[in-house]
Amino acid sequence: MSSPSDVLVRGTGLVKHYPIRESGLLGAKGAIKAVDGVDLHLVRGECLALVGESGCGKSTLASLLTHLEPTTEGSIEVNGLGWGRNRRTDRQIRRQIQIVLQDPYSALNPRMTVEQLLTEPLRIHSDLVPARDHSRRVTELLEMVGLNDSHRHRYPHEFSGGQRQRICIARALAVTPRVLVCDEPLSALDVSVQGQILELFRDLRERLGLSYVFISHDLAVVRSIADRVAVMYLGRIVEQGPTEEIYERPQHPYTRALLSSAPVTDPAVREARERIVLTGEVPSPANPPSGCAFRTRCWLAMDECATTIPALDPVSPGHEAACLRLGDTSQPTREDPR
Amino acid sequence: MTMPASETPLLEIRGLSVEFRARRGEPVQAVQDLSLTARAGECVVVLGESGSGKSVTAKAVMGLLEGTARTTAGSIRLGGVDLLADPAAMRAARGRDVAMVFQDSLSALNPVQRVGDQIAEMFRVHQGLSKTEARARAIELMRRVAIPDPERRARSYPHQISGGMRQRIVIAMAITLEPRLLIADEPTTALDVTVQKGILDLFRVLTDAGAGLVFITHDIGVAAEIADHIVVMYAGSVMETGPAREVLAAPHHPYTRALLASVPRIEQPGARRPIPGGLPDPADRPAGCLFAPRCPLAAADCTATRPALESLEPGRAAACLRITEVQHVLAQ
Repeated sequence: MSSPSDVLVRGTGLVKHYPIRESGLLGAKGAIKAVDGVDLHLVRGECLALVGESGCGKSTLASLLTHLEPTTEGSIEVNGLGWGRNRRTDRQIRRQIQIVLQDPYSALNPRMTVEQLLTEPLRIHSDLVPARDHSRRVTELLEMVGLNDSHRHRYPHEFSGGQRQRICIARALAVTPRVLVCDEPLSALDVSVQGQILELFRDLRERLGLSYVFISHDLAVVRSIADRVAVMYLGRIVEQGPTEEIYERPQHPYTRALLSSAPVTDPAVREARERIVLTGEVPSPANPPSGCAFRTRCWLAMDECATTIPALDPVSPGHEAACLRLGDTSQPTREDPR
Repeated sequence: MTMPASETPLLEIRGLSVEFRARRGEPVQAVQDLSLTARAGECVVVLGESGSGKSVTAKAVMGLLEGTARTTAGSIRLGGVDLLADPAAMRAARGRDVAMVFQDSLSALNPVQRVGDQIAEMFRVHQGLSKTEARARAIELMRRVAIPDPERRARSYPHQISGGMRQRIVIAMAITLEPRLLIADEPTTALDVTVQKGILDLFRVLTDAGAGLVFITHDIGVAAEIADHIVVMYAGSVMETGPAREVLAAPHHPYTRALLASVPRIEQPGARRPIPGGLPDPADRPAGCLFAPRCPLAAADCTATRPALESLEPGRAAACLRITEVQHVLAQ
């Protein structure tokens, strides 16, 4: 495994609860457990993908990693520095970890030109680049993301979705971060443009040695870019490991179900693969099931699953899964809607 | 749903053009010269990116074009009757012969009426059933679209149930009057993959029972999962059409080829080849081939002449001047 110095980001015991307040009453009535006990690490130079369905906590985790929201419990270290200790170190950390959001239409201030958008982070972190070099740095950033100087004085509305996402990426790169947290960075883009942005991420990784936390619901995109994958369900990581391990030998029943539902273009592959149709619905994160959160939809669940929270157990080097029935590869008896 | 797969197709669109009047300048062509055939028991997927005209096509078939949009040419025949020529026929057909499933189930349902009552209302209004009868039929229908515990679910309001369940309710409403044709506009785009899978299976059950389905999507994987036949659109025009398996396995049009080569696939790890450039501005589209500015095979005549759909082999067609070169590449 990687030595501790290779670990760029480490999250330990991460918990994020959002209190539920009933209108007209003071005080919390329970909480939405968006992230409920996550340990994760990002090795220098790698791309770690977080996958899972809506409500699994992957976007909340992104905002915790970038300290857009404080954690309820747990700690996050970026390159050895802990978030939330004091303002000075927070500023140091912010230069090292930046976020790219899903919707490039709402992520850019419509009243600012590209130049203003890209200069703002340089003005905030004023000791990075002397003011007289800001203009040159803007040119450099634009070229880095495949735009050019002629775009500098334009406003966001003059650009297509793909170009706007490039501007967002350039803005994130302005402070020369080591890590980009990308939260569904392709979802708002046209299919034929998604490939270009994916290529840009690949290119930047090579040229700048960037590391990524890449959040996506698109399992095909994840397979094409990630080195490692963490699968989340209801606020916890249920399985993680090297990408090919996860896709070729998924161990957790939820991972198996997720992979079996993803659309496949090649008919031969589609017909050969495992077919698991999940019944029931994702339980509310305000009131998750006891024990293993997936047990209410799991065809392998037994009594013990309701009482024991399974820990991540090693399956093979770097690959671990949290399930009491590991190794049981039986499929659900198909409930055919026909 | 008794129509046999006979000579008259269920839906036959010929040379459909739709334009939006612009406040200034020339009208914008949303759809140009589109032809499409849907048969009973079959799923036709209209595959396209934003601005390809796929949703406008769906709305035109339903007679739901809004604002300044209007059809300028072509015919839409449903069971042989031209709906564009006969607005009364269009009104009569809507809901009874052809029904639509939209992407956003939350806005398709009435937020202050129980979902069971919304389905039951269809039976009461269209078939004059009593309250009790209508309710019983609604629950039966909910069971048919695989909603668990339908008696209890029927009393829920739309916001109380999950997105997948809501989409099933919307589908139940669409099939209430047993239409021969269903038009679904990105019906799974807002859903998670495990839920999407269930909805695609449900559509398959409906086509197996004899319904015709026109399914609109931007997602090649979804198209591959459900389509019998594919119509690939780009910037308002049809680029290629043919049996789904053949089009996806050996696309003829350079756009289809580039799209398939650019989109990551779950079954194929590793990098893909992105398509350079962006979609043409709808108000300022190229005079020649719409894909020419991004096409690796484009030559001088491509920017001058808009190619027509030509058939290379039975059942397949592509609109490309360089088609013989593509075939040459394919043969190698």
